Amino acid sequence: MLILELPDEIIYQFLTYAEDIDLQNLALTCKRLRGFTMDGLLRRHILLIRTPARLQSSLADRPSRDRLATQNILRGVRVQFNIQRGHYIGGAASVRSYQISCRLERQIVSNRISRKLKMRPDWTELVEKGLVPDVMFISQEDYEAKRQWLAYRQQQQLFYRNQSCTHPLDREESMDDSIDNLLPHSPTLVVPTHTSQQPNPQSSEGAEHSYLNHPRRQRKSISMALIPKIEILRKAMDRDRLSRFVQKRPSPTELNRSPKTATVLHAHHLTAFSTASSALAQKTAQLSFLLKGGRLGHWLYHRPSLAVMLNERHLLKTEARTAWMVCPGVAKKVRFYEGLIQESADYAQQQQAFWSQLHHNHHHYQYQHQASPVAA
Amino acid sequence: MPIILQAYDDKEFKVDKQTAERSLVLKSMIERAGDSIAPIPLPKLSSLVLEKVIMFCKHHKADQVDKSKDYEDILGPRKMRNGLIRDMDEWDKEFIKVDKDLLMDIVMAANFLDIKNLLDIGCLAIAYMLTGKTPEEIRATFGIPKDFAPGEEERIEQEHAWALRP
Repeated sequence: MLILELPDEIIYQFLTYAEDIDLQNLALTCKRLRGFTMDGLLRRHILLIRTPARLQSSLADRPSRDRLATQNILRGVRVQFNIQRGHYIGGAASVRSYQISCRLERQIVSNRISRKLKMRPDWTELVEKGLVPDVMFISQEDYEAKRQWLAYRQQQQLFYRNQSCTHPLDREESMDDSIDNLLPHSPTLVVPTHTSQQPNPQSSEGAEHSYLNHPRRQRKSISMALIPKIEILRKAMDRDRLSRFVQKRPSPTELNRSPKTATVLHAHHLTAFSTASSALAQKTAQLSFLLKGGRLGHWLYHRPSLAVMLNERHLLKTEARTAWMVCPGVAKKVRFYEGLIQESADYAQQQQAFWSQLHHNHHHYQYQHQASPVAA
Repeated sequence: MPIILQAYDDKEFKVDKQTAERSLVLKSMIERAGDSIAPIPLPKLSSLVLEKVIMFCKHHKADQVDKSKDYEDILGPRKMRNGLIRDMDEWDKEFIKVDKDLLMDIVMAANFLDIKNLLDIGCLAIAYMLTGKTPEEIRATFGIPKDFAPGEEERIEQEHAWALRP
């Protein structure tokens, strides 16, 4: 018999008795045994119960905070300085300022990336300029479709610009633009060190590259006095964005007409009420309520029957019980018939007992009868 | 009253009640059947294995069945593995000195019949067979096929490097 034919629980049991080194060698033999040796409970047992000494020794030579800070594992605002002075990280305020600075940094980077993504030339342009041979790309129809779509889009944008308003569903993008216009100030405002080193981050790609690779977290610091101002500014910007959204929100008629929103509204049986005719609004609400009521009535009428459902899932044993459930008036009859069944079962049992006794007596009698002449 | 155990090859063994009750499975069977117990067929066990198992049970039939002594207690900090090996008495050590195939069968039988002591001793013996062997030797001893992809073995070896650290 091979070791792999043993059931899992026995393998686990003898693994709990094996030495660490043997376990390690066992893990190198085959995949299944490796899976057994990597079991969390087994490892826990070995580390905590059998050889706690090893854990002690490895706890003793864990890295110090200073080393963690130099390796950029422990991060914070001027964390090395704080640790050398004997503070842990520098208190709650410094943790908070570090978190805010991280968030700001991420936002700035994301803004920069999105701006660059927008600036990137479309591939149709590249083809037109002859930088990329068009055979390298997709089929002619796709190319045509794309170019037509671009032309259509430009036309649309021109049209809306002339009307000095944007299409309601294009507002998301226009909003991004406005945020982008707004935010280039924030890096200069918040992180002076960064702008002084990088006067024009888009000017040369090499500079940008080195900038990305450099561990900025360690040396960047925000003056503590600026942090509440940053928060206030951020909140104000959020408020401003929200109010602009509210001002530019599409009117109800627009919502009802726009193909994107209309389908959604229709799917949820809603209508966007127009403020133009307030007298009609109430009626519309009433109508939609009635429609909803009608739908509910339909569902109620077509709901699955309880008895049928229970019967299908074999929750009710007999059909008599189903009948009982469906129509309580049948209860008496059901009970009567069940009584009859029980009685007949009892009767059969009694009869069997009687017959078996009779049989036994007969045997007994015969045995006596045969035994007596032998005795005589 | 003796209880008759039937092995795989129809060989019958007569044991007394106390011996049979070392196995918790047989014990519950005996309790359920009462006095009039028929021969118990054990089709999974060969007569060789059954003989060994009965030998063990006979030797340990006078032991107290200590229910409080469970897994936690055996593996607790006070009774570590080395302690357990030292605790194994001489008779058990001699008893378990069998070849590998028979040992596996005994462990399986102990698991099947639910004889805790025998299972513990058997597992200890298997663990003892592993000690100080290289992976290759373990593979050869237990007939384990090598199913690692080339290069995977080295990676696992690196993963386990911490285990060898003094």
